[in-house]
Amino acid sequence: MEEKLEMHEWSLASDFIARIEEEAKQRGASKITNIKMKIGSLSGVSVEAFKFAFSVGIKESIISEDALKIEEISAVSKCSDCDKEFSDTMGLDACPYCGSYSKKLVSGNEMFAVSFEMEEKDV
Amino acid sequence: MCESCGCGQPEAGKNMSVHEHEHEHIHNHDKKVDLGFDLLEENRKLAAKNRELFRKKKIVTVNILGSPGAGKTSLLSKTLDELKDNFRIGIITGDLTGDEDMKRLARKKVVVHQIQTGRVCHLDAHMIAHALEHFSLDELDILFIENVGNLVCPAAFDLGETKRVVVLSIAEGADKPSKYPEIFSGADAVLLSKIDFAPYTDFDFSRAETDIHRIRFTVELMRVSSRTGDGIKSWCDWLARLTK
Repeated sequence: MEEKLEMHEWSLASDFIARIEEEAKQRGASKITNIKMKIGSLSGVSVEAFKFAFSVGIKESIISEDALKIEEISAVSKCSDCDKEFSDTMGLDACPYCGSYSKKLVSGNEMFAVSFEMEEKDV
Repeated sequence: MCESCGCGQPEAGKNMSVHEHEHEHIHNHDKKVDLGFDLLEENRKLAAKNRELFRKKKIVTVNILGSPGAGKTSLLSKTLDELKDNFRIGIITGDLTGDEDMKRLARKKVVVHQIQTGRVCHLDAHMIAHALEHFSLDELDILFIENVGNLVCPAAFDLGETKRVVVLSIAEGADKPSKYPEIFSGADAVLLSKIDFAPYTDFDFSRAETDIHRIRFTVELMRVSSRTGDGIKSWCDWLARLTK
């Protein structure tokens, strides 16, 4: 095991890999491909760090090397004063319509597992 | 079997596998499996359980976040001096290793439990659920959780706390809120600490405070020095109000 700080992306990646493998093996999979995820810009998860942790974690697994497909979602906030929604990637922006900083996050803190594809074992 | 979460693991384990019902789309040759869950969801579910427990037991729980060296332990130590005669206080403290903080705080004669995370950069709701096994929850008014010193990762993990507080020492620089907005975006209060250093730094209070307000409009901002005691009273008054 590498002697380094285990950033949270590592534990998230290893839990995720274990979960997908479990789901796939129950269904008799021989290979897992095309794993789709959506990660929000305010999820607190670094996409690069997660990809790296994932690539290390799938060695000796049935997950193919290029399986992981991440769609990065830019955060959207809703203005509490004028009720309009706007893109707020880093959570730092004022409402572009009325200038208010009073807002609520609508989306962008997710780390969503969408689906995967699998090939079945020949019986 | 673990009572907090049914994980069947002793403390410090963190593999939580939940079996949800997926809908399968079966094609002729390959097979697509819909997942439809959030990887952070497991933590959120456990955090919700913790939060419900705190509400039932009428415990105000304060999650304290900040860089290593921001002054979290010193602040807690000072806070205990102010509050321990009027409130029953417990502390959970998280570090990668060692029990330095626990020893420092245990001198104050409160119940302290140290979580050693090993190589993990944050506390999560599962670790907290297990740490709670070390406390008599009916005998607590305020529980402080001193998170692992880190201005990034702990932001992503709700622990079920009543309030989230970020400590930023002025030695770290006024640009930190704009560089690390995530941690401030969920804060209920931000304490600018070590203000007794102000004459020796070029810390721009107005820039830091403006940026923090932009990130979190409703945040409570305070300036404190655990060394001189400046601002500690306002901070403790804020805490005391939460218990009402």
